[in-house]
Amino acid sequence: MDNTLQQKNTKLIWTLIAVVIGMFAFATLIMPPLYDAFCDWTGLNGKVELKSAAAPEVKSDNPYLVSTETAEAQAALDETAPAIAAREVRVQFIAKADRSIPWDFKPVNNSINVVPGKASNIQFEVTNLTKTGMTGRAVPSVTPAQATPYLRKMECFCFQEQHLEAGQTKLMPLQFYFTEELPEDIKEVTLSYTLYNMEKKNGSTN
Amino acid sequence: MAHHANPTGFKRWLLTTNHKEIGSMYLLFSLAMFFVGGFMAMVIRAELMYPGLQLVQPDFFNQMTTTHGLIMVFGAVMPSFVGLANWMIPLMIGAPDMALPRLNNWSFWLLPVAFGILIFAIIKSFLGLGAAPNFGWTFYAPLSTSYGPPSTDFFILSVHIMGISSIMGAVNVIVTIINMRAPGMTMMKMPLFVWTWLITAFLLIAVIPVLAGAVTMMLFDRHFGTSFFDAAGGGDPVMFQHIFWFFGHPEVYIMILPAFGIISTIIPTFARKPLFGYASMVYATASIAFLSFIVWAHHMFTVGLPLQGNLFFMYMTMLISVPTGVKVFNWIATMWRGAMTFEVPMLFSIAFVVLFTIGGLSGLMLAITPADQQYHDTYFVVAHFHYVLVTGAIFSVYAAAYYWLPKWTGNMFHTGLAKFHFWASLISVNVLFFPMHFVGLGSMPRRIPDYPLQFADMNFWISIGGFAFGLSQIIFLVVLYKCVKGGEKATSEVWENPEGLEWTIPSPAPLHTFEVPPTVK
Repeated sequence: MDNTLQQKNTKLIWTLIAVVIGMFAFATLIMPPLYDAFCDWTGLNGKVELKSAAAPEVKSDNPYLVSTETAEAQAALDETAPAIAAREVRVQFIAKADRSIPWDFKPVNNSINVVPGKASNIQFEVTNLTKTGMTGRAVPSVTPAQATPYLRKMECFCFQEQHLEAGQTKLMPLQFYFTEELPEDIKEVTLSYTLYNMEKKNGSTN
Repeated sequence: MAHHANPTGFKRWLLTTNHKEIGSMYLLFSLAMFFVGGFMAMVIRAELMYPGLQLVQPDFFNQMTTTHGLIMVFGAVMPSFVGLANWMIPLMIGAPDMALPRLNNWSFWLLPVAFGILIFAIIKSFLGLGAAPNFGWTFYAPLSTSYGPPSTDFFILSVHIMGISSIMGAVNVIVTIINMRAPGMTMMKMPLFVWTWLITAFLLIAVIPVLAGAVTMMLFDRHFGTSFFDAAGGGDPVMFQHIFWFFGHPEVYIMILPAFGIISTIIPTFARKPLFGYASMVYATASIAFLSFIVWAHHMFTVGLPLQGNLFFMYMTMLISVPTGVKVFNWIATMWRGAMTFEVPMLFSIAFVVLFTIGGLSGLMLAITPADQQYHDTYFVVAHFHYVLVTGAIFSVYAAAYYWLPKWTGNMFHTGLAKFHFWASLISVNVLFFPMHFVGLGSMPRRIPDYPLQFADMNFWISIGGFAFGLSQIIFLVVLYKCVKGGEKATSEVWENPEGLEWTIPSPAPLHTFEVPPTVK
């Protein structure tokens, strides 16, 4: 009887240990990529595609970057064309430099009003406060996340790494529009850019 | 008891594999941690007694809130339930010991190591040698990764060790309950304390590895160049919150389900009626455990979840009140028209039912997304979880301690002193936590060492209640000491016709019991 109890115990213990190992693997190995995939799939979390920017040849993979040759973009750029949606959306800009890069980084205008379907331009001013040349890269984020799929960027400094010499100041352009399908209940959108140091983590992004 | 060449003195406790001795060590350890964590709460309340900064610097205040939470959750509440499980589960199911006695010894002795590391970090900070963990017990990234003090690594190691201890304890409980029941004790004849612990143990097995995963990813982010939670490398700090609360919400039920079992054991004894709705209690416990896995994001209503997410988690959270309500009504129905007497364990149990329900009700308020967006991170939340953890979990442990203390020691405790302990605790705990609801609704934020003047009067009384509650717990030490030393001899039944196998053995419980399993009809 003792023997069978011991066998039963051993079997149960190994089953339970398997559950423990499985849950640990779930949290560390499965959950993070699953989370990313879920955010990509749903467009939640304001996470904008990061991969395409550095190399120009993969630009076309970026769903938020549009070529100026499409009809939609042409209409957005055409200042004479009448706007279909007669409403304005307030767009606020936030720019901040991560503590890894001692640069001064701010939008020239803190907010503008835009009409969906119409392109807007704004500029960000960035200054390298250090005594050495450095390379940085801005990572975008959109709040509310529900606005992300309707955002189109024709030009953005966030697509490229930016190199600034010591003390250099530069104006960086952003040209974007929201498609007319932007849901009615979104009246305010915040575009946030965080600048990161690309010197040490170069090549290991994403 | 025949003493067969067992080691004596310190070695006896270091090497013991006896479930009763290990249970006692767990209980005494958790009591010690309750006072350590309580002392930190006193520092917090002393600082908050008046507006402005008097006693401590904000950074040290943050270290106090952090370590108070960690020590109370992992050091006081959880080990006290494991101690009760060790003592009572073998007695309740008629087993000679836990299934894995050596593992049991190991899982206990890991705890002093884990908390030694954490307390070392606090002492170090007290001596001015670098901050202790200061990011709140929820250790959100990036506060704990990019901005965590060097002692965060002590914290990570400590959490790993206490996690291993919990997992081993849970494995032991499951194997004992599944394989070691006395002949005739079917699953649906098990006492409810055993049932709730079985379900709790499964929760532990499922989520403690997730906690271990979270701190492991933190460690990698801090030292090995990964970016799980770092936006600079494509990671996401919000993912930390998802992972943490996927552990954290079941953890909340880990700290309350055994309490439900205790209350379901004690109320029938002193109402002199069998428990109303045994089967529904079992199913309610299982439903709560299941739901606990799909409500985690109700801690995150302000991170910007999509509307559908907020709605899902709001409805699921509100759904938990159904099985919990079943339990509360079952307890009331058990007392209904019972021949009730109010011995000390019953007093604590009734206080539990009333005050835990208040905590549950404020939880329901917090479940409503738009309301929560106002209450989030205010003292309303502090009031809510202290009602469920102090007047819930801690009161149930006191009820259990008074209920089984005569069985453990063979002596009755001093009833007058114990009642004094109860009434002093009951009044002071409400002076302490009830006004927190109001300062919270007035939007006083938690974890901040200072506050605007309009909260001054309330905070003064909250602090007075806090000190009174702290002092009241010293009465328990006196009761415990007197009861261990002597007192009126307890009979083997102790109370009037209590149900359960543990009352068929003599008081004090001999070191070895049920070497021949009893038969349950």
